[in-house]
Amino acid sequence: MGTYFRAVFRYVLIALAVYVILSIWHVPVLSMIFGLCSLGAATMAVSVHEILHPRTDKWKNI
Amino acid sequence: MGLYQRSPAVALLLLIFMLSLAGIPPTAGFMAKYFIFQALIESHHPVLAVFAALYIVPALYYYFRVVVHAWMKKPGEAPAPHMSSAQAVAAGRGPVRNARGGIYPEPFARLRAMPSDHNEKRDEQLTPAEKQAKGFSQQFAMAMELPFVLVAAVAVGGLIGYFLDRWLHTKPVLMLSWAFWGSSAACAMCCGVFPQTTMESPSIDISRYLASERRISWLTLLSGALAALPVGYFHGWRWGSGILIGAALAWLNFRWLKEGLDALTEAATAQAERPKARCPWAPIFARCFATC
Repeated sequence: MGTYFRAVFRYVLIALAVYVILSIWHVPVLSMIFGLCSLGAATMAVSVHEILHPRTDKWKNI
Repeated sequence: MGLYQRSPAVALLLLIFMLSLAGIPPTAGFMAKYFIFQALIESHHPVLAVFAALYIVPALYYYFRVVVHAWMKKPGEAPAPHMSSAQAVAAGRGPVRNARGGIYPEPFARLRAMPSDHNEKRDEQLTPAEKQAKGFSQQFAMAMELPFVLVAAVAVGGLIGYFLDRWLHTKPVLMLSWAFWGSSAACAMCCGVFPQTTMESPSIDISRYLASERRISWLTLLSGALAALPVGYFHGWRWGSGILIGAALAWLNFRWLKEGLDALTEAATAQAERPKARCPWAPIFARCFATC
């Protein structure tokens, strides 16, 4: 239950921070959306890396 | 040309089917492509999988070209398409099934994993390393499904609440309460899904996930910073800082979502030896809903 409320609280905090950033700094929303896409880019890069370099023994020591 | 202005419903159907053909989530086309990629990787054809992934880029162009003509161009002189009621029902079922296949693909995944003589013989012949790789792909498929379940449950709950609000003039009480209901149902479903997958493939090497997560985490910040520098230089500091803030938010979201799902997994797998406990938030949200 605590985890659930913590997650909700964090997203409320994110929404508040985004609202403050947009209203005070007037940062373009589109640029923030492009910034959010970096997670997708990183995920795709790691996926391609996993495909090109399949599991080896070195994984076990990480 | 201009199908949206002549017949919005048909244009919407076209958009959904084109998204599915292009393999955009959450549609059945995405899951179909995903299973093809998975089969290619499992059968040791990684280069072919990469080429298949790259092929999506030009495919997106010609699929969306049709959508652009249908949605954004001015209508020609052709009459609006006419559909009989039977055709409308048949066409309406298509996108529903399509979205169901993308949002909740577990039945299709189970059908695919259904044991046959051929599969059983193959499983016996697999080496431990191949079994581990197969287990990893099953876990990965489940991890791909969970975000869709979480988003879809909240969206469906919110939509039902929205229409009820419009009907009963209680905006936005029912929408919020139904969205909470959806999220609690999704969490409850996660609690049910995780123990199954962890028990089915106990030989998973968790270090692989951790290493991938770490890579995704720092690559998110790095790619955001690398993109922010040239954009900030050419488009001004507001655009650069916007991209940087967006990347930081994406990083925070990834970390917190991971923490939340880890906690859920821990809570769910802790019940493996005992009768499954009821999710505690369900009765609480029931009371909230009744109070609303």
